[in-house]
Amino acid sequence: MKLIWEKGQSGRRGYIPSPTDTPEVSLEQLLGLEYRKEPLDLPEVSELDVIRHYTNLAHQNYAVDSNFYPLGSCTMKYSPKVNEDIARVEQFQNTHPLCEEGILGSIEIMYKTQELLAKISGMAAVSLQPLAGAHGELTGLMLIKAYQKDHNQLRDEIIVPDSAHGTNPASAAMCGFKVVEVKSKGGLLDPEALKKVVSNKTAAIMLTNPNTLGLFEKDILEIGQIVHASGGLLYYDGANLNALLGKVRPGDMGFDVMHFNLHKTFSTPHGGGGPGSGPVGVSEKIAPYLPLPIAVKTATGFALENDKTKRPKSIGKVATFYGSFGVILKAFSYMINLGKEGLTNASEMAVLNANYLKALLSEVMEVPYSEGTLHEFVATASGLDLSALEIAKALLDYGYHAPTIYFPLIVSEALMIEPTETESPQTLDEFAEVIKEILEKVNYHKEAPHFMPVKRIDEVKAARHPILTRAQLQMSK
Amino acid sequence: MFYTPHTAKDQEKMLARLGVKSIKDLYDTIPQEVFLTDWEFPSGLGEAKTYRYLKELADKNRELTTFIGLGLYDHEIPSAVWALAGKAEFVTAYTPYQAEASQGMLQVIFEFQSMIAELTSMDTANASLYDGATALAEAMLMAVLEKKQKKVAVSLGVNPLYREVLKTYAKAIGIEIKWLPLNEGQTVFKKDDVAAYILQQPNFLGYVEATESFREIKNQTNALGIVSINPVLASVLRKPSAYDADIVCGEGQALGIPMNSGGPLLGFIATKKSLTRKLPGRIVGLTTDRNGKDAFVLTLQAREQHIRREKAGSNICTNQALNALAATIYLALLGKEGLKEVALGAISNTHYLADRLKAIGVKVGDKRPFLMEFPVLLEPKKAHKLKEALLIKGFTPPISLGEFDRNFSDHYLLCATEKRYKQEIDAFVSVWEGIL
Repeated sequence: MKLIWEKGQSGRRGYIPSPTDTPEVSLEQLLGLEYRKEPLDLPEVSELDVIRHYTNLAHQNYAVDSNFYPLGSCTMKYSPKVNEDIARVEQFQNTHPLCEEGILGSIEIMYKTQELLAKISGMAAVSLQPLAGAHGELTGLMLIKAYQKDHNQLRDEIIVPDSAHGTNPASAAMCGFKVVEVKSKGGLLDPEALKKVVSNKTAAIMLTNPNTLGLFEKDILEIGQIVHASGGLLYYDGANLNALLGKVRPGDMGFDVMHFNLHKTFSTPHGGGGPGSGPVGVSEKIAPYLPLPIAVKTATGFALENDKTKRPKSIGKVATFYGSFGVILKAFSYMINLGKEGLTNASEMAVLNANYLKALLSEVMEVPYSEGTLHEFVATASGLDLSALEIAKALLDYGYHAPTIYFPLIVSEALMIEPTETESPQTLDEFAEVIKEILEKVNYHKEAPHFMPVKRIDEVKAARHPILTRAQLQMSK
Repeated sequence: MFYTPHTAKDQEKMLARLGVKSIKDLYDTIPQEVFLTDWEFPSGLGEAKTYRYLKELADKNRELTTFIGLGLYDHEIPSAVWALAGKAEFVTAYTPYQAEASQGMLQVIFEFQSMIAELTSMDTANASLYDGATALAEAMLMAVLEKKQKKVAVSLGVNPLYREVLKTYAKAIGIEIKWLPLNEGQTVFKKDDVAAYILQQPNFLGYVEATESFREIKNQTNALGIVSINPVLASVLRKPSAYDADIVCGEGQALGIPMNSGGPLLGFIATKKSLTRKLPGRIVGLTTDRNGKDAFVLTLQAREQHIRREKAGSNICTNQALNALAATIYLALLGKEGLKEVALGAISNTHYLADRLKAIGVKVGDKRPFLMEFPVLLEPKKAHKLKEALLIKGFTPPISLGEFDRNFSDHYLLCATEKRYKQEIDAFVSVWEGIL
């Protein structure tokens, strides 16, 4: 392993900024005590050094474009290339957000994206400002807090099922809520158990539907009645929306606030962990609380509404500007390209693929909550001779990214599998065959991976003696 | 357009395997009352028409010659940055949970953390955050949790857009903010019982803050010191560790990321060793594999939401990996000398612009040394005329600070990065000359 610094030589240059033709300012004179005298320890490499270094690193990465990536809950679908082409158009890239006259096209796209997301979800209004799914959740909880406070409700509890994503309780706690966990029954939220924890302290319940087991919460309408009757609100975690496009809308199910993950459902690439985009959708009564600015239609076109006097209940800003515009643009492109039929087809094939793969894998693995799963399912390695981790690592050797493992927490040795709609049944057949093969060669795969750039990694050592930068590495030697 | 590969025959075979007649049968757990029979949504345009339509919308944007900043800057971007960062192996991967299959992105993030630690003069950095404003909000939250004190002091020299985000977070979390006023463009510190003092260097008006007063107030109190910096200007400005900052964060867009109508951006955060385990978000560490070979892995995960759930300090689970990659490549290309040259080019251009405006009688706010931005005083009526004239000639009008901060109602903010030519600056100034 060589870091980029080690590829260089003192005095070598990679990129020389174009010369400026204005008189040079003397920084030492201008800054005095505020001048930085110490040199920066940055690499000294040529452009080709940089190209080779990062090209070689790219080769050490699994990605959707090169590998089947059935990472449950993450919806690793194929990202159409036309979206990337569009995002590179210079009139989108070279525009400063604080000159509204220069971004009228971008604002129109923001407005139309808000509209399309509202149609897909059945919500009354949408804000594009949150910058990731977890940021959308946090914004949603801020909206709930503001709404409840505005109605003189001292409600400080958020109900979360035990199958929920970790971000749900973390977002709630960050917003100062107490988290009340409710146990699921047969993998689903039990209305009777819910009734026991709902009270006049309930600010909201957070639900993913279908939930993290891939199961649709069939009692959702009753759940909604219970929570609403007590004065609480319903929050929809949009992580699994890919199962439902054109089938059922969160707004129709009674949800008051939700977030979308544009990088999951709407095909924008995950970028190795971001940037994502997490717009929030709300019902009519929550709309006045949405963050500002927001894109609006005017008599002459489209504009950014930022007038607090017109929207006095707004919670304010949650991001520097108007959201991850480049990501929003790709999601908009995806929606208008596929349209009604294409989006519905995407959900249907996602559900068909997941059910088909579940049927294939059920021959060799147990799927504890198997009945009625939609776009993903959770198998268990418990009772097998390999752990979930060992199966995951063995899959890497066969050129597959592993499923999500050890989540949800309510299934032991969980392998959470979401094939998405863009895989062919032939890919799924091959994947299932490989799993069978792995389970037949237990001793060999206990040592996996064998063929990756590195063998099994010592994670305990990483956490116990953290080396997080090059300087720390040099000190440790 | 569909991106699903299923032929009619495939579907038939799959349904037969499942023993169901139609795809609709797979959805039978959804209550009939809410199952959509039809819904209102446009039909698909297909690829080529989607591109054409979006190109038409792009043409409604205007690529103006940019003379504004306020947290987002029009710098040169070397072609190599996105030639590499656009590689599908990076673009279409996810968070490197499976370290053995993600050594590429993990090493990139380790290099990013190393470069950010160097620029901020801190010991450790995380894998990045959403943007500069939310990075500052997370820093505030870190201090509040560390000091168990729900009060912070924030300079009114902090970017007003960031201040709005801090206010939103503070309100939701229940944090009290004490605002520290500016006097002659400088933050006035007051001794207080707070979890942190929050400063921006240079402040939003472009002025360089006198950092000794920050160091002094830190000495007199038990508070942590948080500084929001500009990573390009950090190459020429006194190191935050020299004035005793504990957490340094900021916006990394200037490091090779296009303006993109405001996003996606790149937040970064770095801190001292003692606070490392309080950092939010992902962190990559170096360890070894079972053969003793160097290997990278996501680490210190016991801090995070997927382990600690409601006890986590932050709910962050993603980072801006692709933009962090772009910034890493940018910094590798620019290197030791290049980044300082960018800063010097931008500062020289900005000073030339200020001098030219002064020469034609514009009131330039120059009470303090400024670097890449400075305010001018204008009568609103004239500012309006000027705005129209500048737009006609293809320039961005100055930012009206009154829109964001009532204390600066006649103030307008300007900026000139290293990307500007002298000739462009002269042409820009001549529009002013015609109006004033």
